[in-house]
Amino acid sequence: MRNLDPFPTRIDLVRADNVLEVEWEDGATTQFEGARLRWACPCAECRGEAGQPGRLEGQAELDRDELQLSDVTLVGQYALQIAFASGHATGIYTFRYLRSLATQTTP
Amino acid sequence: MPSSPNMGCEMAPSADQVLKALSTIVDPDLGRDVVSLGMIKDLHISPQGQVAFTFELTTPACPVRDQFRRRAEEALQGMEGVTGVDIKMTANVRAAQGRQHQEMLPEVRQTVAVASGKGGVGKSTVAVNLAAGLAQSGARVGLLDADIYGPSVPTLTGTREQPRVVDDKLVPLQAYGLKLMSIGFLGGADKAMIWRGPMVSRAIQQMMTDVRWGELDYLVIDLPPGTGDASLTIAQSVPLTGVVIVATPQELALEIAVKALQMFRTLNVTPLGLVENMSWFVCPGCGQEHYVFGHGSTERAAQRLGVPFLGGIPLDQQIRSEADSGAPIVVSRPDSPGARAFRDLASQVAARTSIQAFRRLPVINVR
Repeated sequence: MRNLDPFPTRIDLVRADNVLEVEWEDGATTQFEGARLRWACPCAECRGEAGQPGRLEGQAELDRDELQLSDVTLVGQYALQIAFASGHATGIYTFRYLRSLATQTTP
Repeated sequence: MPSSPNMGCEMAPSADQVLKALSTIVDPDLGRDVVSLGMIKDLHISPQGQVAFTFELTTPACPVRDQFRRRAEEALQGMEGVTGVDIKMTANVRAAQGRQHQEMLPEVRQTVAVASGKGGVGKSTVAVNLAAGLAQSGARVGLLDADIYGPSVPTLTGTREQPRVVDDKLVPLQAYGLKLMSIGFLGGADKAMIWRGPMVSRAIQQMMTDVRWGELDYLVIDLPPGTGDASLTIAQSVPLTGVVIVATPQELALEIAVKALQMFRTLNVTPLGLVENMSWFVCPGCGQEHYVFGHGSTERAAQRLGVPFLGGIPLDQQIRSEADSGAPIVVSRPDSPGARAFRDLASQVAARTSIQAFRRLPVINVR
């Protein structure tokens, strides 16, 4: 059992700053900007499936409301569902995936 | 917590000193020390330096049970003033959170489903041995056969009686220390159930609420294979702590298992992990291990999907023959490689459910 998923203790979505802040069980804090999360959306529509290219492939830019965070909800005990102002909300970001996305980790 | 009076010339250690020494032991799964987790109970230190306490684990199937005891003994025996150490190991399985769970099965602490993508991967054999393995560790375990169209539990446990009805409730059958309920006990195991989805859903709910399960640490639920109507309604009507997905190493079986996993994720059921059945074949002639269907594919899939790999079960003729004769191999041949693999699996599953029960859901603020 050395295969534990990282687990968050607190999740703050600040719409005005377009930032999602996650505090993890081990004390680390990660800040994600809306654009970063939108481009990393793991859903099938964005990533493509069954050999079909996803919506984000070959796309250089997205509208402002595509990148604006609007809501976040918990999925089971393993992931967050993140919604954007454009209405796009099909991405389910597992805690493990979010942790791997973490670039700005502050102790 | 009783304090030590420190009488006589031998200075017995204080409770604080003992707890400080014990707090060096960290639970590898929960990532915190055993003192702050509240696992040390009823600490008593005699004036002569005899230290006695109860070590309360989160599951009797704890994989590090013996290691905890040894480390606690080592930590205390080296301490000044300690003349003896007496540790009682107990377990208290923590209840899963959630209101729906309490209404449906108020006396059941954890519900663990066993599912698979395709049929024929040994899901029911895994479910029976997982349940029996948990029961062997000392837990109170029930096994609910939710595979309405192909109930296997009657054959796998060699039980075929009609359950009695007391006060409008069914009394589960008992075998191998397990409480058992299956549609096969009710309709007759040889009769086909020709039901549509809503009937299946209703039957499953009745097998939970209208059965006198009593207090259980674990209720293992053997789900039907696949992601069809039956699986879907069950996953939604049964309040599950988590689901164990059984696959075999072939590419096809694994592909479909991954789909089952995705279905459970969509339904907010936490995946406890993937099990690889028929993982390797131990040649009865030369004793060599052969990876008939390839090696490591399930573990790699688990890694890719971000779920734990719970272990492999060998392709063992004994598992098959014991299953057909109605005895879980963990009970009938406890020293065989198959039984050992199932016991390891039971420990892993118990550890995963403990983690689920311990974790508090994160606080979410949207501003």
